[in-house]
Parts: sequence; structure tokens; C-alpha cells
Amino acid sequence: MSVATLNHQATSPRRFGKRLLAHVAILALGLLMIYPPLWMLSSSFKPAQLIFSEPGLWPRAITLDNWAHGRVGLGIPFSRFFLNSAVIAGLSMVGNLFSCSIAAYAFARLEFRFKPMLFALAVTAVFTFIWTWNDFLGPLIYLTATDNYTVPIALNAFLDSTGTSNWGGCSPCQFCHRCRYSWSSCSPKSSWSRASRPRGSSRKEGTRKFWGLSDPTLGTTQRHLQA
Amino acid sequence: MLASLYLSFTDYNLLGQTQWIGLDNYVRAISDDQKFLAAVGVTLSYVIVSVPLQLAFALASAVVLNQGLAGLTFYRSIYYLPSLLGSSVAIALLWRQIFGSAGLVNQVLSSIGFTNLPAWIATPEYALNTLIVLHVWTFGSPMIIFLAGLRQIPQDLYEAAAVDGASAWTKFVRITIQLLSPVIFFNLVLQMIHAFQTFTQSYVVSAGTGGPVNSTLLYTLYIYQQAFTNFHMGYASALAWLLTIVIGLLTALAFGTSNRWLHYAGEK
Repeated sequence: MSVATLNHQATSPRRFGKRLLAHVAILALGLLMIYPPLWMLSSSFKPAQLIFSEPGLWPRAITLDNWAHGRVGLGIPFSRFFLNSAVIAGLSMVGNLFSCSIAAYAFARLEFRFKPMLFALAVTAVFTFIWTWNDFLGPLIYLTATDNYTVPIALNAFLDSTGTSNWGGCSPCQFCHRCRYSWSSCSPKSSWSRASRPRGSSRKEGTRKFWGLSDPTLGTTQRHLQA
Repeated sequence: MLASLYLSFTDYNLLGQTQWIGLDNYVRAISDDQKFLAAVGVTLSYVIVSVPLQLAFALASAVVLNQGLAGLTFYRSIYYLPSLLGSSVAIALLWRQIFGSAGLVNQVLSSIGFTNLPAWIATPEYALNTLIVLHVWTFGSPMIIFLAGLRQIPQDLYEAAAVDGASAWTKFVRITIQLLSPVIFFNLVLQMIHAFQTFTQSYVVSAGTGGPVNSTLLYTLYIYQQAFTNFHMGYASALAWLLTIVIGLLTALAFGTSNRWLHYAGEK
């Protein structure tokens, strides 16, 4: 019997125990992590008087009224909120990806004057006070598209500079135009950034407060607040 | 941004004419506004406590999840979920219930023998802590980035360290932390900026007041109050620009000192 086999036999129960312990710890913490979303789901099936009086997940009384009446309870169709949020999330994601892709490419691949200063500005210029446009959907899209600017820029540049990204080592093909290189080499590697956009877009949309405005600016977050 | 910069030098209330007042808004904020100082104090406490805690949880979870355990995708999804919901109004409303006088926390604590429990959300000493817990709860987002960074650390470094008899802690400090430092730095900068911008939680939990006794008056909530409650748009713009400057300085400080503690792969 080889030494490796002996070592394996000696350590297997211990390793199994450690892995079991890790699973238990992760699951326990995981339950804590998902309790609030589960509570929300559970609350949607509870009568209003029970929602804040019983913290448990399993409702003592089940009702579908919240789903049936909540849809039109505020006098505005539920679809309006979703449509507004979808428009903002969709268009701002497109604008965000476009602006972030070209900016991230420039910061990661090009050398130009005042680059560090501009990079710091891009990272910090995330808090622009909004007051000028408050009556139309467009500004929301614009603000959301530019407000998340910093994340992909910083991430791509950081990943590139740290060598933790595969595309740090790729080089422009000899006959490729720079734009084509950017599109074909870098964009696929940023796919997970795309996946993260809708979350950020939705969150930012939610932090903008435009109450008392016309329908088009109402999103699902405002719907929550009203409810 | 330029428009808001201009407004910050004016007296403007949405309805009347804008009146140029120079630096008065900035001087007033710094020298003659106790609520501004309270908001700065609360926000700094919030950022200084919540960001390191959040990153510590994120890193610890990432290290545990990076052990090659079965079900990693499931666990990762569970841990990431709060990041999607953390700044939502629904979760903030839920937080009020959880930390209320008859909320889940008190029910659990009383079931194990604690008595005279406060309403955490309504007690000035504890109210901010509930927001900090809420922020820490959303550690899934930096955790995912840490996980990506951990995957890039060559395994042969750990094997070489094991051959040399290094303990797990030594490997963590000398290899993991060292090679992960750029990712830690990245998360630190972004989470710091994110924490400075926290608004929804404070607004919903305190019903827009920043109470009790200004204990949850985060800076962005104070800007909101000045802008949309008091309609001091010029003053609110100045406050927003002060925040931008502070975030910029802190980011510059982080970048300026980063060479001392960052380890980039390939550098000596």
C-alpha cells in the first residue's frame, strides 16, 4: 500500500468532517440570508393583520387577496409599474454598457494625459445631484445609465491591471481595427458585467425620488413605497 | 453636474429666481448647521463600521465557498440574493419589523431568556446599528468578486507552502491576502462609495426623518430633506458637492497609499 493511499485513508474521515461542518455552517448562514425574501413571499399570502404580527414563514391563514387586489389596489395597473421599470432598466442598461465599454477600454488599454486624474474622477463622479429634469422618463434613463458608470470601468481596469482577467494577455490582431478588437476581444469577457446591470439600474432608479410626478416616472420601487 | 455646481453657489427654492450668493451655502454648512454635523457624524460611523465588516464577511464566505464544495452554485446564489434586494424598499420595511419592539429579533432573544429588550429601531443608541446590519447583510456582491479573485491564485503556491509546513492561517495571510490585495482594494473603494450613497434604507427605516434623534440621518437623507422637504435646492446642491469632494479625497487617499500595501502579480 502506497504512502499516498495511507495518507488518504488517514485524512478522509477528517476531511469529510470538515466538509460536513462547512456545509452546515454555510447552510445555517444561508438560511439567515434568505429569510427576508422568504418572509416577503410568505407575507404576500397572509392577511394584512397577520403580516407584522407573526414573524414565522408559514402563514396561519392563507389568502390570495394580496395578489388579486394588490394588482390594481392603487388605481394604477400593476403593468404600468413594471413597464416603466422595464423601460428604464432596459434602456439604461444599453446606455450604461455602451458608455462603460468604451471608457473601460480606454482606461485599460490606452495611454493618455491625465489618465489617473480622469480615472479618479470617473470613479468618484457617481454622485451628481439631480434637480434639473424631473418631469420625464428620459432623465431617469440618462441618470441611471451614467450613474453606474464607475463599476464596470473600475472593475475592468482593475482586473486588467491585476492580471486576474484572461484578456489582460491578449493583444490586438495585426489586421484588426482597434474598435473591432475592442468589440471581439474585450466585450465577451465583460458578459458578467452585463448580467449585473439590471440590478444596479433598478436600484438606482429606486433611489431617485420623483413622487407626485406623472405616470411614466413611477417604477416598482415607488409602488412599494405607496403600498 | 455643472448645473448643480452652479446651483450650489445660489439661493434657489424651485419657485423663485436663483440668486448668486457665492460660497455662503458651503460656509453655512460647515460653520452654522448642527444637523449637517450630525449627518456627517452618522454617515462616517456608518461607513467606518459597515464597510470593513461587510468586506470581512464577504472574504470569509468566499474563502469557505472556494473549497470546492458541492452545491457551490446554489450557495453562491443564496448569498448573492440579498445584494439584489438589500437596497429595496420592501427589505427596509421588513427591517423595521425585524428590529421593532415585537419583531423577530426580540422574539428570538426573549425565547432564550433575555428580558427588557428595546425596540432597536426606535432607540437612538441602536438604530444606526440596524442599518449597519442591513448593509453587512448585502455582502454577496463583494463576495462574488472575491471568489473570482480567489480562483486566479495559483494552487501551486499553496502546495509549495504546505510542503514547507505552513499552517492554514499562514497560507491565508501570506498568500491569499497578498495576492488578493488588489481585489480587496477594489472592493474597498467601491463599497466605501456605495456606503456613502446609502439612502433608501435610512429613508424607509426612519420614515424620512432620520430619527430617532438624528441617529439614522445619513448624509444623503439630509440632502434629500433639504432639497425636497425644505426646497433649499442651492444648499442641497452644495451639500451634494461636499460629499463628492469628500468621496473624491478618500478615493484619492486610497489610490495614493495603495502602492504600499497592494501586491500585483508579476511585480517584485
